[in-house]
Amino acid sequence: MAQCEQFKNRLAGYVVGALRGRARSRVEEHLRDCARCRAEVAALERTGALLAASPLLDAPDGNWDSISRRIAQPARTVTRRLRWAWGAAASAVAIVLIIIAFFVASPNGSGPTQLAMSPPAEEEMAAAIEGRIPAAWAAPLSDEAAVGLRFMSTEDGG
Amino acid sequence: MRSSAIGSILLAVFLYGGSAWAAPRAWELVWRSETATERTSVVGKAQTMLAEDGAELSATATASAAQGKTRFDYQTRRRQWSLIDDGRALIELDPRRKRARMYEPPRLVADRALAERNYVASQTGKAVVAGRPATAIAITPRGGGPAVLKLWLDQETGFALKRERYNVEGKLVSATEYVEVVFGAPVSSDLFTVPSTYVIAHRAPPRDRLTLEQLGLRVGFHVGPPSYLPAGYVLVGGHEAQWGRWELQTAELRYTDGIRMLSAFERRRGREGSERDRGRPGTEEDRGGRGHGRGRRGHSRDERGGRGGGHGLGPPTQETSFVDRGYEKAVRYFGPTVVVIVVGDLTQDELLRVARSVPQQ
Repeated sequence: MAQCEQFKNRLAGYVVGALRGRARSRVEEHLRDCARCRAEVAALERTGALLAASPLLDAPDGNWDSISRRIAQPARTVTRRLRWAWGAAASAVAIVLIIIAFFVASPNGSGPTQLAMSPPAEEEMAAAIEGRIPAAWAAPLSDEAAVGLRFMSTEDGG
Repeated sequence: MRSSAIGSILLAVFLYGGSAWAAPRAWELVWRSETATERTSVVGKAQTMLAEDGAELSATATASAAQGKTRFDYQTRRRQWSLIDDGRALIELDPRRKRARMYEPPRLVADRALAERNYVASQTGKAVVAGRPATAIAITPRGGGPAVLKLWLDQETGFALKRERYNVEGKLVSATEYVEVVFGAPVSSDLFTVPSTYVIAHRAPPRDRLTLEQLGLRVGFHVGPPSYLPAGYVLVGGHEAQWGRWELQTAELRYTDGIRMLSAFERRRGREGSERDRGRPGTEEDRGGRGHGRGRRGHSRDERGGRGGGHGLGPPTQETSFVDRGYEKAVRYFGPTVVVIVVGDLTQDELLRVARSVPQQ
Protein backbone atom coordinates (compact mmCIF):
# COMPACT_ATOMS: atom_id res chain seq x y z
CA MET A 1 0.00 0.00 0.00
CA ALA A 2 2.87 2.33 0.82
CA GLN A 3 4.19 1.58 -2.64
CA CYS A 4 0.86 2.61 -4.13
CA GLU A 5 1.31 6.05 -2.59
CA GLN A 6 4.65 6.25 -4.30
CA PHE A 7 3.22 5.43 -7.73
CA LYS A 8 -0.22 7.01 -7.44
CA ASN A 9 0.78 10.34 -8.96
CA ARG A 10 2.59 8.67 -11.84
CA LEU A 11 -0.30 6.64 -13.20
CA ALA A 12 -1.82 9.43 -15.30
CA GLY A 13 1.55 10.08 -16.91
CA TYR A 14 1.90 6.36 -17.54
CA VAL A 15 -1.50 6.20 -19.23
CA VAL A 16 -0.75 9.06 -21.62
CA GLY A 17 2.69 7.66 -22.43
CA ALA A 18 4.55 10.49 -20.77
CA LEU A 19 6.67 8.22 -18.62
CA ARG A 20 9.81 6.93 -20.15
CA GLY A 21 12.74 4.71 -19.45
CA ARG A 22 13.29 3.59 -15.91
CA ALA A 23 10.32 5.53 -14.55
CA ARG A 24 8.01 3.66 -16.89
CA SER A 25 9.62 0.30 -16.14
CA ARG A 26 9.17 0.87 -12.42
CA VAL A 27 5.49 1.64 -12.85
CA GLU A 28 5.05 -1.43 -15.05
CA GLU A 29 6.79 -3.55 -12.49
CA HIS A 30 4.52 -2.22 -9.76
CA LEU A 31 1.40 -2.77 -11.90
CA ARG A 32 2.25 -6.43 -12.30
CA ASP A 33 1.72 -7.01 -8.63
CA CYS A 34 -0.84 -4.36 -7.70
CA ALA A 35 -4.44 -4.97 -8.69
CA ARG A 36 -5.52 -1.67 -7.15
CA CYS A 37 -3.22 0.39 -9.35
CA ARG A 38 -4.13 -1.70 -12.38
CA ALA A 39 -7.77 -0.83 -11.74
CA GLU A 40 -6.79 2.82 -11.43
CA VAL A 41 -4.95 2.66 -14.77
CA ALA A 42 -7.97 1.02 -16.40
CA ALA A 43 -10.22 3.79 -15.09
CA LEU A 44 -7.84 6.49 -16.35
CA GLU A 45 -7.74 4.84 -19.76
CA ARG A 46 -11.52 4.74 -19.93
CA THR A 47 -11.76 8.41 -19.02
CA GLY A 48 -9.07 9.29 -21.55
CA ALA A 49 -10.91 7.37 -24.27
CA LEU A 50 -14.14 9.20 -23.42
CA LEU A 51 -12.41 12.57 -23.58
CA ALA A 52 -10.75 11.69 -26.88
CA ALA A 53 -14.05 10.56 -28.34
CA SER A 54 -16.08 13.52 -27.21
CA PRO A 55 -16.87 15.93 -30.05
CA LEU A 56 -15.76 19.56 -30.15
CA LEU A 57 -18.84 21.72 -30.15
CA ASP A 58 -19.15 24.92 -32.11
CA ALA A 59 -20.36 27.94 -30.16
CA PRO A 60 -23.66 29.36 -31.47
CA ASP A 61 -23.39 32.05 -34.16
CA GLY A 62 -23.08 35.51 -32.69
CA ASN A 63 -21.85 34.23 -29.37
CA TRP A 64 -18.55 36.05 -29.52
CA ASP A 65 -20.26 39.28 -30.65
CA SER A 66 -22.47 39.12 -27.63
CA ILE A 67 -19.51 38.50 -25.30
CA SER A 68 -17.41 41.29 -26.79
CA ARG A 69 -20.38 43.72 -26.54
CA ARG A 70 -20.71 42.94 -22.89
CA ILE A 71 -16.97 43.30 -22.29
CA ALA A 72 -17.12 46.72 -23.93
CA GLN A 73 -19.87 47.88 -21.55
CA PRO A 74 -18.80 49.99 -18.56
CA ALA A 75 -18.14 47.98 -15.43
CA ARG A 76 -21.06 49.51 -13.52
CA THR A 77 -23.55 47.99 -15.99
CA VAL A 78 -22.51 44.49 -15.06
CA THR A 79 -25.48 43.11 -13.35
CA ARG A 80 -25.52 40.72 -10.49
CA ARG A 81 -26.79 38.01 -12.85
CA LEU A 82 -23.85 38.53 -15.21
CA ARG A 83 -21.42 38.38 -12.30
CA TRP A 84 -22.90 35.03 -11.37
CA ALA A 85 -22.54 33.85 -14.96
CA TRP A 86 -18.90 34.88 -15.05
CA GLY A 87 -18.33 33.04 -11.81
CA ALA A 88 -19.90 29.91 -13.22
CA ALA A 89 -17.85 30.22 -16.38
CA ALA A 90 -14.65 30.63 -14.35
CA SER A 91 -15.53 27.53 -12.34
CA ALA A 92 -16.13 25.57 -15.52
CA VAL A 93 -12.81 26.70 -16.93
CA ALA A 94 -11.10 25.74 -13.68
CA ILE A 95 -12.63 22.26 -13.83
CA VAL A 96 -11.52 21.81 -17.42
CA LEU A 97 -8.02 23.00 -16.50
CA ILE A 98 -7.88 20.54 -13.63
CA ILE A 99 -8.87 17.70 -15.95
CA ILE A 100 -6.29 18.79 -18.51
CA ALA A 101 -3.62 19.13 -15.83
CA PHE A 102 -4.49 15.66 -14.61
CA PHE A 103 -3.97 14.17 -18.02
CA VAL A 104 -0.96 16.12 -19.18
CA ALA A 105 1.01 16.42 -15.98
CA SER A 106 4.41 14.92 -16.42
CA PRO A 107 5.30 13.29 -13.14
CA ASN A 108 8.89 12.67 -14.12
CA GLY A 109 9.44 16.37 -14.26
CA SER A 110 10.35 16.44 -17.92
CA GLY A 111 7.86 19.16 -18.77
CA PRO A 112 4.29 19.13 -20.00
CA THR A 113 3.07 16.76 -22.64
CA GLN A 114 0.10 17.07 -24.97
CA LEU A 115 -3.43 16.00 -24.30
CA ALA A 116 -4.01 12.52 -25.65
CA MET A 117 -6.31 13.18 -28.58
CA SER A 118 -5.21 9.89 -30.06
CA PRO A 119 -2.71 7.33 -28.83
CA PRO A 120 0.87 8.56 -28.76
CA ALA A 121 2.74 7.39 -31.84
CA GLU A 122 5.08 5.20 -29.82
CA GLU A 123 2.26 3.44 -28.04
CA GLU A 124 0.16 2.90 -31.11
CA MET A 125 3.05 1.55 -33.17
CA ALA A 126 4.08 -0.71 -30.28
CA ALA A 127 0.53 -2.10 -30.16
CA ALA A 128 0.63 -2.73 -33.90
CA ILE A 129 3.96 -4.54 -33.67
CA GLU A 130 2.95 -6.54 -30.63
CA GLY A 131 -0.42 -7.46 -32.11
CA ARG A 132 1.41 -9.27 -34.88
CA ILE A 133 3.44 -11.55 -32.63
CA PRO A 134 1.09 -14.58 -32.62
CA ALA A 135 0.85 -14.33 -36.40
CA ALA A 136 4.63 -14.07 -36.67
CA TRP A 137 4.91 -17.26 -34.65
CA ALA A 138 2.52 -19.08 -36.95
CA ALA A 139 4.06 -17.76 -40.17
CA PRO A 140 5.85 -20.15 -42.52
CA LEU A 141 9.59 -20.58 -41.86
CA SER A 142 9.19 -18.69 -38.59
CA ASP A 143 11.89 -18.96 -35.95
CA GLU A 144 9.34 -19.95 -33.35
CA ALA A 145 11.80 -20.17 -30.48
CA ALA A 146 13.02 -16.61 -31.09
CA VAL A 147 9.50 -15.26 -31.64
CA GLY A 148 8.64 -16.76 -28.26
CA LEU A 149 11.13 -14.37 -26.67
CA ARG A 150 8.89 -11.53 -27.77
CA PHE A 151 6.24 -12.77 -25.36
CA MET A 152 8.65 -12.27 -22.52
CA SER A 153 9.61 -8.82 -23.74
CA THR A 154 6.09 -7.54 -24.36
CA GLU A 155 3.88 -9.33 -21.87
CA ASP A 156 4.23 -9.41 -18.17
CA GLY A 157 5.91 -12.74 -18.34
CA GLY A 158 2.67 -14.62 -18.57
CA MET B 1 37.82 -27.34 -83.41
CA ARG B 2 34.49 -29.04 -83.96
CA SER B 3 34.98 -31.42 -81.03
CA SER B 4 35.88 -28.52 -78.70
CA ALA B 5 32.69 -26.69 -79.73
CA ILE B 6 30.63 -29.78 -78.98
CA GLY B 7 32.47 -30.12 -75.68
CA SER B 8 31.63 -26.51 -74.79
CA ILE B 9 27.97 -27.06 -75.62
CA LEU B 10 27.86 -30.21 -73.51
CA LEU B 11 29.55 -28.39 -70.64
CA ALA B 12 27.06 -25.52 -70.89
CA VAL B 13 24.12 -27.96 -70.93
CA PHE B 14 25.60 -29.76 -67.93
CA LEU B 15 26.12 -26.54 -65.97
CA TYR B 16 22.66 -25.22 -66.82
CA GLY B 17 21.09 -28.56 -65.90
CA GLY B 18 23.12 -28.65 -62.71
CA SER B 19 22.01 -25.19 -61.57
CA ALA B 20 18.40 -25.88 -62.56
CA TRP B 21 18.56 -29.02 -60.48
CA ALA B 22 20.28 -27.32 -57.52
CA ALA B 23 17.70 -24.55 -57.00
CA PRO B 24 14.59 -26.68 -56.48
CA ARG B 25 16.63 -29.15 -54.46
CA ALA B 26 17.40 -26.49 -51.82
CA TRP B 27 13.77 -25.37 -51.71
CA GLU B 28 12.69 -28.98 -51.38
CA LEU B 29 14.86 -29.30 -48.27
CA VAL B 30 13.46 -26.05 -46.88
CA TRP B 31 9.83 -27.15 -47.24
CA ARG B 32 10.66 -30.57 -45.90
CA SER B 33 11.99 -28.93 -42.73
CA GLU B 34 8.57 -27.33 -42.16
CA THR B 35 6.95 -30.74 -41.70
CA ALA B 36 9.82 -32.51 -39.91
CA THR B 37 7.98 -32.69 -36.57
CA GLU B 38 5.06 -34.45 -38.26
CA ARG B 39 7.42 -37.28 -39.18
CA THR B 40 9.48 -37.55 -36.03
CA SER B 41 9.36 -36.41 -32.43
CA VAL B 42 12.03 -33.99 -31.21
CA VAL B 43 13.35 -33.29 -27.74
CA GLY B 44 16.18 -30.82 -27.39
CA LYS B 45 17.72 -27.77 -25.89
CA ALA B 46 18.25 -24.60 -27.91
CA GLN B 47 19.93 -21.26 -27.39
CA THR B 48 17.78 -18.54 -28.85
CA MET B 49 18.36 -14.83 -29.36
CA LEU B 50 16.34 -11.87 -30.56
CA ALA B 51 17.72 -8.41 -31.30
CA GLU B 52 15.42 -5.77 -29.90
CA ASP B 53 15.98 -2.04 -29.53
CA GLY B 54 19.70 -2.41 -29.95
CA ALA B 55 19.87 -5.03 -27.19
CA GLU B 56 19.78 -8.80 -27.34
CA LEU B 57 17.17 -10.91 -25.59
CA SER B 58 18.32 -14.45 -25.11
CA ALA B 59 17.20 -17.59 -23.37
CA THR B 60 17.68 -21.30 -23.22
CA ALA B 61 14.63 -23.10 -24.52
CA THR B 62 13.80 -26.73 -23.99
CA ALA B 63 11.94 -27.91 -27.06
CA SER B 64 9.48 -30.77 -27.35
CA ALA B 65 7.73 -31.49 -30.61
CA ALA B 66 5.62 -34.30 -32.01
CA GLN B 67 2.81 -34.73 -34.49
CA GLY B 68 3.25 -31.17 -35.71
CA LYS B 69 2.81 -29.73 -32.22
CA THR B 70 5.56 -27.79 -30.51
CA ARG B 71 6.37 -26.62 -27.02
CA PHE B 72 9.18 -24.40 -25.79
CA ASP B 73 9.98 -24.02 -22.09
CA TYR B 74 12.05 -20.88 -21.64
CA GLN B 75 14.42 -20.13 -18.87
CA THR B 76 16.23 -16.87 -18.26
CA ARG B 77 17.90 -15.58 -15.12
CA ARG B 78 14.73 -13.71 -14.16
CA ARG B 79 11.85 -15.66 -15.52
CA GLN B 80 10.35 -18.89 -16.77
CA TRP B 81 7.56 -19.25 -19.29
CA SER B 82 6.32 -21.74 -21.87
CA LEU B 83 4.74 -21.56 -25.27
CA ILE B 84 2.70 -24.31 -26.86
CA ASP B 85 1.61 -24.47 -30.47
CA ASP B 86 -0.98 -27.22 -30.68
CA GLY B 87 -1.55 -26.62 -34.38
CA ARG B 88 -4.65 -24.51 -33.75
CA ALA B 89 -3.93 -22.19 -30.84
CA LEU B 90 -0.83 -20.60 -29.42
CA ILE B 91 -0.80 -21.02 -25.65
CA GLU B 92 1.38 -19.03 -23.29
CA LEU B 93 1.94 -20.52 -19.84
CA ASP B 94 3.09 -18.65 -16.76
CA PRO B 95 4.21 -21.35 -14.31
CA ARG B 96 4.68 -18.88 -11.46
CA ARG B 97 1.07 -17.70 -11.49
CA LYS B 98 -0.40 -20.86 -13.01
CA ARG B 99 -1.96 -18.75 -15.69
CA ALA B 100 -2.49 -19.35 -19.41
CA ARG B 101 -3.20 -17.03 -22.30
CA MET B 102 -4.51 -18.33 -25.61
CA TYR B 103 -4.35 -16.91 -29.11
CA GLU B 104 -5.71 -18.21 -32.36
CA PRO B 105 -3.75 -16.37 -35.00
CA PRO B 106 -4.84 -16.84 -38.59
CA ARG B 107 -2.33 -19.27 -40.04
CA LEU B 108 -0.52 -18.11 -43.08
CA VAL B 109 -0.27 -21.18 -45.28
CA ALA B 110 3.13 -21.30 -46.91
CA ASP B 111 2.79 -20.05 -50.45
CA ARG B 112 5.70 -22.01 -51.82
CA ALA B 113 5.34 -20.71 -55.35
CA LEU B 114 5.37 -17.12 -54.09
CA ALA B 115 8.43 -17.68 -51.92
CA GLU B 116 10.28 -19.39 -54.73
CA ARG B 117 9.31 -16.62 -57.14
CA ASN B 118 10.73 -13.92 -54.85
CA TYR B 119 13.67 -15.71 -53.28
CA VAL B 120 16.48 -18.04 -54.22
CA ALA B 121 17.40 -20.92 -51.90
CA SER B 122 20.88 -22.27 -52.26
CA GLN B 123 22.98 -24.81 -50.44
CA THR B 124 26.00 -23.10 -48.99
CA GLY B 125 27.82 -25.99 -47.39
CA LYS B 126 27.81 -28.64 -44.70
CA ALA B 127 28.22 -28.27 -40.96
CA VAL B 128 27.79 -30.15 -37.69
CA VAL B 129 25.13 -28.74 -35.35
CA ALA B 130 24.29 -30.34 -32.00
CA GLY B 131 26.59 -33.17 -33.03
CA ARG B 132 24.59 -33.94 -36.18
CA PRO B 133 25.52 -33.45 -39.81
CA ALA B 134 23.55 -30.63 -41.36
CA THR B 135 23.10 -28.95 -44.73
CA ALA B 136 23.43 -25.15 -44.71
CA ILE B 137 20.98 -23.22 -46.87
CA ALA B 138 20.73 -19.49 -47.52
CA ILE B 139 17.59 -17.78 -48.80
CA THR B 140 18.25 -14.53 -50.62
CA PRO B 141 15.97 -12.10 -52.47
CA ARG B 142 15.82 -12.86 -56.16
CA GLY B 143 16.22 -9.16 -56.91
CA GLY B 144 19.51 -9.05 -54.99
CA GLY B 145 20.43 -8.11 -51.46
CA PRO B 146 21.63 -9.93 -48.37
CA ALA B 147 20.23 -13.29 -47.20
CA VAL B 148 17.02 -13.04 -45.17
CA LEU B 149 17.20 -16.52 -43.76
CA LYS B 150 19.90 -19.11 -43.15
CA LEU B 151 19.01 -22.63 -42.16
CA TRP B 152 21.04 -25.62 -41.05
CA LEU B 153 18.93 -28.71 -41.72
CA ASP B 154 19.50 -32.10 -40.17
CA GLN B 155 20.54 -34.38 -43.01
CA GLU B 156 18.59 -37.34 -41.72
CA THR B 157 15.28 -35.83 -40.53
CA GLY B 158 15.23 -32.45 -42.29
CA PHE B 159 14.63 -30.68 -38.96
CA ALA B 160 16.05 -27.14 -38.69
CA LEU B 161 18.85 -27.40 -36.12
CA LYS B 162 19.82 -23.77 -36.52
CA ARG B 163 18.12 -20.69 -37.96
CA GLU B 164 19.33 -17.17 -38.48
CA ARG B 165 17.05 -14.37 -39.59
CA TYR B 166 18.34 -11.14 -41.09
CA ASN B 167 16.52 -7.88 -41.70
CA VAL B 168 16.38 -5.95 -44.93
CA GLU B 169 19.67 -4.24 -44.07
CA GLY B 170 21.35 -7.61 -43.62
CA LYS B 171 21.56 -7.32 -39.82
CA LEU B 172 21.08 -10.47 -37.74
CA VAL B 173 17.78 -10.09 -35.86
CA SER B 174 17.16 -13.57 -34.48
CA ALA B 175 18.98 -16.86 -34.13
CA THR B 176 18.17 -20.25 -32.66
CA GLU B 177 20.61 -23.08 -32.40
CA TYR B 178 20.08 -26.50 -30.87
CA VAL B 179 22.86 -27.60 -28.58
CA GLU B 180 21.28 -30.94 -27.75
CA VAL B 181 18.72 -32.86 -29.73
CA VAL B 182 17.18 -36.34 -29.71
CA PHE B 183 14.87 -37.56 -32.46
CA GLY B 184 12.25 -40.27 -32.03
CA ALA B 185 12.06 -40.10 -28.22
CA PRO B 186 8.60 -40.48 -26.64
CA VAL B 187 6.84 -37.13 -26.08
CA SER B 188 3.72 -37.05 -23.91
CA SER B 189 0.66 -35.42 -25.51
CA ASP B 190 -0.02 -33.76 -22.11
CA LEU B 191 2.82 -31.37 -22.89
CA PHE B 192 0.65 -29.71 -25.53
CA THR B 193 -2.36 -28.95 -23.35
CA VAL B 194 -3.05 -26.40 -20.61
CA PRO B 195 -2.41 -28.11 -17.25
CA SER B 196 -5.60 -28.58 -15.23
CA THR B 197 -4.17 -26.49 -12.37
CA TYR B 198 -3.86 -23.42 -14.63
CA VAL B 199 -6.42 -20.65 -15.07
CA ILE B 200 -7.02 -19.40 -18.60
CA ALA B 201 -6.60 -15.69 -17.97
CA HIS B 202 -7.04 -14.51 -21.51
CA ARG B 203 -8.40 -16.03 -24.67
CA ALA B 204 -7.97 -13.85 -27.73
CA PRO B 205 -10.92 -14.35 -30.07
CA PRO B 206 -10.09 -16.07 -33.36
CA ARG B 207 -9.35 -13.46 -35.97
CA ASP B 208 -11.28 -14.17 -39.11
CA ARG B 209 -9.76 -13.48 -42.46
CA LEU B 210 -12.03 -10.91 -44.14
CA THR B 211 -12.48 -9.39 -47.55
CA LEU B 212 -12.07 -5.63 -47.86
CA GLU B 213 -15.86 -5.23 -47.98
CA GLN B 214 -16.39 -7.33 -44.85
CA LEU B 215 -13.61 -5.47 -43.11
CA GLY B 216 -15.14 -2.11 -44.04
CA LEU B 217 -18.44 -3.18 -42.50
CA ARG B 218 -16.70 -4.27 -39.31
CA VAL B 219 -14.67 -1.12 -38.78
CA GLY B 220 -17.23 1.33 -40.12
CA PHE B 221 -15.28 2.96 -42.92
CA HIS B 222 -14.09 2.12 -46.41
CA VAL B 223 -10.79 0.26 -46.13
CA GLY B 224 -8.65 1.01 -49.16
CA PRO B 225 -5.52 -1.00 -49.90
CA PRO B 226 -2.24 0.86 -50.46
CA SER B 227 -1.70 1.57 -54.12
CA TYR B 228 2.04 1.05 -53.66
CA LEU B 229 3.61 -2.17 -52.43
CA PRO B 230 7.21 -3.31 -52.72
CA ALA B 231 7.78 -5.84 -55.49
CA GLY B 232 6.64 -9.37 -54.73
CA TYR B 233 4.13 -8.69 -51.92
CA VAL B 234 0.59 -10.02 -52.24
CA LEU B 235 -2.47 -9.56 -50.02
CA VAL B 236 -3.24 -12.56 -47.84
CA GLY B 237 -6.21 -11.16 -45.95
CA GLY B 238 -7.79 -8.47 -43.88
CA HIS B 239 -8.42 -8.58 -40.14
CA GLU B 240 -10.06 -6.46 -37.54
CA ALA B 241 -7.19 -5.41 -35.29
CA GLN B 242 -7.42 -5.76 -31.53
CA TRP B 243 -6.81 -2.22 -30.37
CA GLY B 244 -8.31 -3.00 -27.01
CA ARG B 245 -6.58 -0.37 -24.97
CA TRP B 246 -7.92 2.57 -26.96
CA GLU B 247 -10.97 0.85 -28.42
CA LEU B 248 -10.12 2.20 -31.84
CA GLN B 249 -11.72 0.53 -34.83
CA THR B 250 -8.70 -0.54 -36.81
CA ALA B 251 -8.37 -2.66 -39.94
CA GLU B 252 -5.27 -4.66 -40.74
CA LEU B 253 -4.37 -5.64 -44.28
CA ARG B 254 -1.72 -8.31 -44.26
CA TYR B 255 0.69 -8.99 -47.09
CA THR B 256 3.51 -11.44 -47.66
CA ASP B 257 6.23 -12.00 -50.19
CA GLY B 258 6.45 -15.65 -49.19
CA ILE B 259 8.99 -15.09 -46.41
CA ARG B 260 8.33 -11.68 -44.86
CA MET B 261 5.09 -10.20 -43.59
CA LEU B 262 3.88 -6.65 -44.06
CA SER B 263 0.85 -5.13 -42.31
CA ALA B 264 -1.00 -1.92 -43.08
CA PHE B 265 -3.20 -0.84 -40.17
CA GLU B 266 -5.82 1.76 -40.96
CA ARG B 267 -8.12 3.71 -38.70
CA ARG B 268 -10.22 6.74 -39.28
CA ARG B 269 -8.96 10.00 -37.90
CA GLY B 270 -11.00 11.15 -34.99
CA ARG B 271 -11.21 14.64 -33.64
CA GLU B 272 -8.12 15.73 -35.56
CA GLY B 273 -9.88 14.93 -38.83
CA SER B 274 -13.06 16.76 -37.96
CA GLU B 275 -11.13 19.92 -37.12
CA ARG B 276 -9.42 19.83 -40.46
CA ASP B 277 -12.70 19.23 -42.25
CA ARG B 278 -14.15 22.33 -40.65
CA GLY B 279 -11.32 24.38 -42.04
CA ARG B 280 -9.86 25.24 -38.67
CA PRO B 281 -6.18 25.59 -38.10
CA GLY B 282 -4.31 22.30 -37.80
CA THR B 283 -4.43 20.36 -34.61
CA GLU B 284 -1.52 19.65 -32.37
CA GLU B 285 -0.94 16.49 -34.39
CA ASP B 286 -0.76 18.49 -37.60
CA ARG B 287 1.56 21.05 -36.11
CA GLY B 288 3.83 18.34 -34.84
CA GLY B 289 3.08 19.30 -31.29
CA ARG B 290 2.65 15.71 -30.30
CA GLY B 291 5.12 12.97 -30.15
CA HIS B 292 8.28 15.02 -30.15
CA GLY B 293 10.64 13.69 -27.60
CA ARG B 294 8.53 10.65 -26.96
CA GLY B 295 10.54 7.51 -27.18
CA ARG B 296 9.66 4.78 -24.83
CA ARG B 297 11.27 2.07 -26.87
CA GLY B 298 13.36 1.73 -29.93
CA HIS B 299 14.84 4.44 -32.03
CA SER B 300 11.69 6.36 -32.57
CA ARG B 301 11.52 9.77 -33.99
CA ASP B 302 8.89 12.01 -35.37
CA GLU B 303 9.51 14.00 -38.42
CA ARG B 304 7.87 16.69 -40.38
CA GLY B 305 8.76 19.35 -42.81
CA GLY B 306 11.47 18.84 -45.36
CA ARG B 307 12.63 15.47 -44.14
CA GLY B 308 9.72 13.64 -45.68
CA GLY B 309 10.23 15.49 -48.95
CA GLY B 310 13.18 13.24 -49.55
CA HIS B 311 10.82 10.43 -50.35
CA GLY B 312 9.95 12.01 -53.64
CA LEU B 313 6.27 11.92 -52.80
CA GLY B 314 5.61 15.63 -52.58
CA PRO B 315 5.93 17.87 -49.56
CA PRO B 316 4.55 16.29 -46.40
CA THR B 317 1.73 18.07 -44.69
CA GLN B 318 1.17 15.60 -41.88
CA GLU B 319 3.18 14.21 -39.06
CA THR B 320 4.88 10.88 -39.49
CA SER B 321 6.55 8.79 -36.81
CA PHE B 322 8.96 5.93 -37.13
CA VAL B 323 10.14 3.18 -34.82
CA ASP B 324 12.86 0.58 -35.36
CA ARG B 325 12.54 -2.41 -33.08
CA GLY B 326 15.40 -4.28 -34.71
CA TYR B 327 13.41 -7.23 -35.92
CA GLU B 328 10.66 -4.99 -37.26
CA LYS B 329 10.04 -1.40 -38.12
CA ALA B 330 6.87 0.66 -38.12
CA VAL B 331 5.78 4.01 -39.44
CA ARG B 332 2.66 5.97 -38.50
CA TYR B 333 1.29 8.45 -40.98
CA PHE B 334 -1.49 10.90 -40.24
CA GLY B 335 -3.38 11.28 -43.50
CA PRO B 336 -6.20 13.81 -43.87
CA THR B 337 -8.86 11.22 -43.07
CA VAL B 338 -7.11 7.95 -42.28
CA VAL B 339 -4.28 7.20 -39.89
CA VAL B 340 -2.05 4.47 -41.34
CA ILE B 341 0.51 2.35 -39.52
CA VAL B 342 2.70 0.11 -41.63
CA VAL B 343 4.74 -2.61 -39.91
CA GLY B 344 7.25 -4.81 -41.65
CA ASP B 345 10.82 -5.49 -42.55
CA LEU B 346 11.31 -2.68 -45.05
CA THR B 347 13.40 0.46 -45.08
CA GLN B 348 11.86 3.55 -43.52
CA ASP B 349 11.37 5.13 -46.96
CA GLU B 350 9.53 2.08 -48.24
CA LEU B 351 7.30 1.87 -45.16
CA LEU B 352 6.37 5.52 -45.53
CA ARG B 353 5.76 5.13 -49.24
CA VAL B 354 3.31 2.29 -48.55
CA ALA B 355 1.58 4.30 -45.82
CA ARG B 356 1.18 7.35 -48.00
CA SER B 357 -0.30 5.34 -50.83
CA VAL B 358 -3.36 4.35 -48.78
CA PRO B 359 -6.31 6.19 -50.31
CA GLN B 360 -7.62 9.10 -48.28
CA GLN B 361 -11.19 10.20 -48.83
